[in-house]
Amino acid sequence: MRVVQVGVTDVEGARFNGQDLHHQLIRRGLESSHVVWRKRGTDDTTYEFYTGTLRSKIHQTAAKLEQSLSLQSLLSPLAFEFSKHPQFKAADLAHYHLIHTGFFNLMALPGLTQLKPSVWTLHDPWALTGHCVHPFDCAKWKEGCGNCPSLDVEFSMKKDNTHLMWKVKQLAYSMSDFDLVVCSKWMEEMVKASPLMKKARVHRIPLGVDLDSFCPGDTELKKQKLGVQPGSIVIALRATTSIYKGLQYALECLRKLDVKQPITILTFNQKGLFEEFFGRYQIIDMGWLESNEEMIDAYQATDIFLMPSEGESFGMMAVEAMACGKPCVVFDGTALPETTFAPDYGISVKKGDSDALAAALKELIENESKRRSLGNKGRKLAVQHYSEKEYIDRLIAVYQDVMQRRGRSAVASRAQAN
Amino acid sequence: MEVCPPPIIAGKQENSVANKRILLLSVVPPNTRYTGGLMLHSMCQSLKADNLSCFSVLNPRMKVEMHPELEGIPYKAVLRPREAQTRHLPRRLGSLECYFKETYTASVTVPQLAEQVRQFIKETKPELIFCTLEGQTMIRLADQIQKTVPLPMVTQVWDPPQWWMRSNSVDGWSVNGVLKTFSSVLKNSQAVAAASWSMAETYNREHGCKAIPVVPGLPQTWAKQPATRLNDSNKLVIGFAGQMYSKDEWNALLETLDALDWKVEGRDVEIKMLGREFELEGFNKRNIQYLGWRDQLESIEILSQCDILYCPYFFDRQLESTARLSFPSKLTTYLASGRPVLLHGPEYSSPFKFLKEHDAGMLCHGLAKSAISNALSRLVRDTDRYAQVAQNGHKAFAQNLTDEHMRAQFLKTLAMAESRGPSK
Repeated sequence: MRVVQVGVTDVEGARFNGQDLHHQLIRRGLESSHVVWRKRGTDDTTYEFYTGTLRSKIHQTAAKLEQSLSLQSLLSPLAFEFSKHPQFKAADLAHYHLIHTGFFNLMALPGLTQLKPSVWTLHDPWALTGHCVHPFDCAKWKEGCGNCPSLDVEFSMKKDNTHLMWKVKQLAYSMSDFDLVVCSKWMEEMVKASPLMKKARVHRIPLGVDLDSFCPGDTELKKQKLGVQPGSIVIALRATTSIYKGLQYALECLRKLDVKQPITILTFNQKGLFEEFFGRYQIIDMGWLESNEEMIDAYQATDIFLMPSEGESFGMMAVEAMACGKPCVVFDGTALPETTFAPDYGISVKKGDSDALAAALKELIENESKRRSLGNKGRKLAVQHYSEKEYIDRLIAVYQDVMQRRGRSAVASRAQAN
Repeated sequence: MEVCPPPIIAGKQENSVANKRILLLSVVPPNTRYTGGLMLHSMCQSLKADNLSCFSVLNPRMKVEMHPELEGIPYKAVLRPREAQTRHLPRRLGSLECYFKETYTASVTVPQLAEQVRQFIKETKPELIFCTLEGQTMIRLADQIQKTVPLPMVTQVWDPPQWWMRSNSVDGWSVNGVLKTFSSVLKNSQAVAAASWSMAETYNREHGCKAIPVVPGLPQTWAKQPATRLNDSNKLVIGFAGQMYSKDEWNALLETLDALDWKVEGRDVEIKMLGREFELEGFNKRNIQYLGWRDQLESIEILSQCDILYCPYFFDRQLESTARLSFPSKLTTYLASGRPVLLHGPEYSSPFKFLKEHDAGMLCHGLAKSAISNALSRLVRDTDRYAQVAQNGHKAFAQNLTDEHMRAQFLKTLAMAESRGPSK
C-alpha cells in the first residue's frame, strides 16, 4: 500500500501534520510520502504542494482575498491541482491532516476524495464550525453558526460569514467520500453531534508515543542538567498566548500558589511569559524544542505537568508527560480528563477555576508519595493505551478497511488517477 | 590536564603559496591597534615579508600605521570614500539622495581607486591578491579588480555586508546592488576566508564559492590553564573585553543584576570592562570597573583573574545575518583566558553553535532576567559544571582558535588559489 500524507508543513508540529506518521509508516514497511504546503526540513520523501513564483503569487492573492472577504479555505485554486501531483497520483490512499491554514480549498475535497480513498484526521473541531478552531461553550456549530459571538478568535473573521462557511463545509462534505480519524471520545462525540458529518465514518484512534524514548528517567540528574535550583519542585507547562491553552489560568494559579517549597517553572514554546514570577520562582524557558531528546530531558526533570487548556481535542503533551511518569493537572470540558484518565491518574478541576488549579498543585507539591503514585499510574496507562505501535497498527487497519470498502486495488486506484 | 593542539602540517601547496608574491588589498594594513590589522599581521607571519605588498583603502578617521615588523614592504594607503550616509532629505527622498551618492561613488570614485590599485600592481608585480571585503567600497573595488586584472584573488569576509551597510544607513537599492556584486565577487574568488564555520558553510551553499573558516587566533602559549573553580572570595567578578556592540544584551544583564541587587548566590557581583568607548545607561552608578584598552596579553591576564567572562551577541532580528555568520573575536581571547564563558545570544548565532558543539560555554539564549539569572547562578552553584565548561573551553581554544590553526587555515585558503587557477 502506498500512502500520501497531506499537511501544512513538515517540521513544526511534526506529531500532528503527518510528518512523524509518514516516517513511522516507512519504518513499518509501507510506501509513504508527505506533501506539504511549506517544506522546512530536508527530508527527501517530503514534497511541496506546489512550487514556482506564479503559483506562490496566486496563493498569496487568494489568501488576501479570503481575508478581506472573510472566507476560509475556499478561494485558492491550487488545491484542485493536487490531483495532478505525482505523489497523489502514485498513492493508493491519501491521508489529510491539518488542512485549514489557508493552503487548501474545501471544494477540492469532493474531487480528491472521489479519486483516491481518503482518510482525514481531525486534530481539532475547525471542520465542524463556521470559523473557529474550538467553539468552547458556544453551541451554534450544531445549528449552522451565524451571528457569531466570537469572530475574533482563531481563525478570525472581519465580517460574519460563519453561516456561509458552515454551509460551504456542509456542501463539500456531502459530496465527498472520506473516513475520519479522531484521537479522543470527546472529539468523536463532537463529530457525531455535528450535522455536517452525518455521513462520516469515524474511527477513534488515540495518538501514540515512542514509549522507549518517552519514559521515566533520573529526575534529579535531569534537573541538574537543566540548571534547576537544588531542592526545587518543577512544574512544567506549555507557555503560549494561544487562547486555547489557558495561559491566564496558569498565571493566576501560580500567583495564588502558597507553598513553602522552592518552585521552578519550566516552560516550553514561548519565552518570557512567566517573567512576573522572577524572584519568587525560578523560571526556565526552554523555548520551542524541535528535538525529542530535549523534550524528554525536560519531562524527566519535571515533578508536575500543568495543562490548563480550555480547548484541547486530545492533549499530546499530557500523554508524553504520562509516559515519562509525571502527574498531570488539567481542566474539565476538554478531551484532557479522558486522555489522562481522570480521576484515576489525571487531576481534573473545573474549567476556569484557578483556585482549584492552585489547590491541586499545592497538594501535589506537598505530597511526594502522591506525585510518585500518580506518575507510576500514568506510565502504566500510557503503556496500555498510547503506544506508537498500537497507533500505527490501528491506522493501517483503517487504511485497509477504507481501501477494501472502496473496492479498489492499488493498481486500479492508480490507473484512475492517471 | 594540558591539551595538545593537533599538529599542523603544511602541505606542498601551502609551502608553495607561502613563497608567492602577494598583494594585501585591505581596509587596514597589518598593524598593532585594530582587530582586523592584528589578525592580518598574524596571518602574514606565515608568509615571507619580502614577498608582501599592501594597498590599504583607509577610513579617513582611522590613524593607523603599518606594523613595525612589516615596515619595509611596498605600501600605499588611500582614503576610502565616505560609506556612512548622512541624509538631508526625508524618507524616500533621503533614500534617493543616498542612492545618487552611492551611484556616484560606484561609478566614479571606485574606478579611480581601481586604477590606483592596478598601477600599484604594475609596480609590485604580485602573483596573488588577498582582498578583505569590508564595506561597499571594498566589494565594488574587488569586483573591478577581478574583472580587469588577470590574477587569482582570495577574499576574506569578517562580517556580512548587510550589517555594515545597515549601520551606515545605505539605501535599499544600493544595498541590493552591492549584495549582487558581493555574491559575484565570492563566486569569482579562488577561495574565501570566512569569519566562522557557519559563514563558510552558508557561503559555500548560497554563493557556490569555496569558503574556509579562518577565525581569529591567539598564540597557544598565551592560553591560561583552565580554572577549576571560582576565585576564593565573596565576590563574583564578571569580565568583559572588546567592543561594546550588543547594547540590548548588556542592558538586560544590568537590569537583571539590578533586580538581584547585584548578588548572585550570595556573592557580590562586580564587572571589569576592558576596551574603548563604552556607552551604558547609568554606567557610572553601578558596580563596574572600567579598565580601558589593554593589549591582548594583558587582557588575557586580567580576564583570567575574573570568575566568568561575558560574551553578548545580537538577539535583534534585524541583525540576524550578522549573528548567524560573524564570530566575535573576544571569544578567542576569552577561551584563552581559561575561565568559563557566559554566551548571551540567540541559539542560531555562530558563537552559540560553536560553544554548544564543544560544550564550552554557559549558554543563555534569552533576554529575560530569569534566563540570565539562571545562567549566572548555575555557574556559581554547580562547581562541576564550572570546571567542565572551563576545561572544554580550553580544549576548544587549543583545537580551533590558536594562531597556528588560523595560519594553517589561511595558507590552506591561499593554496586553493594555486589549485584553482586565475580568476574567471
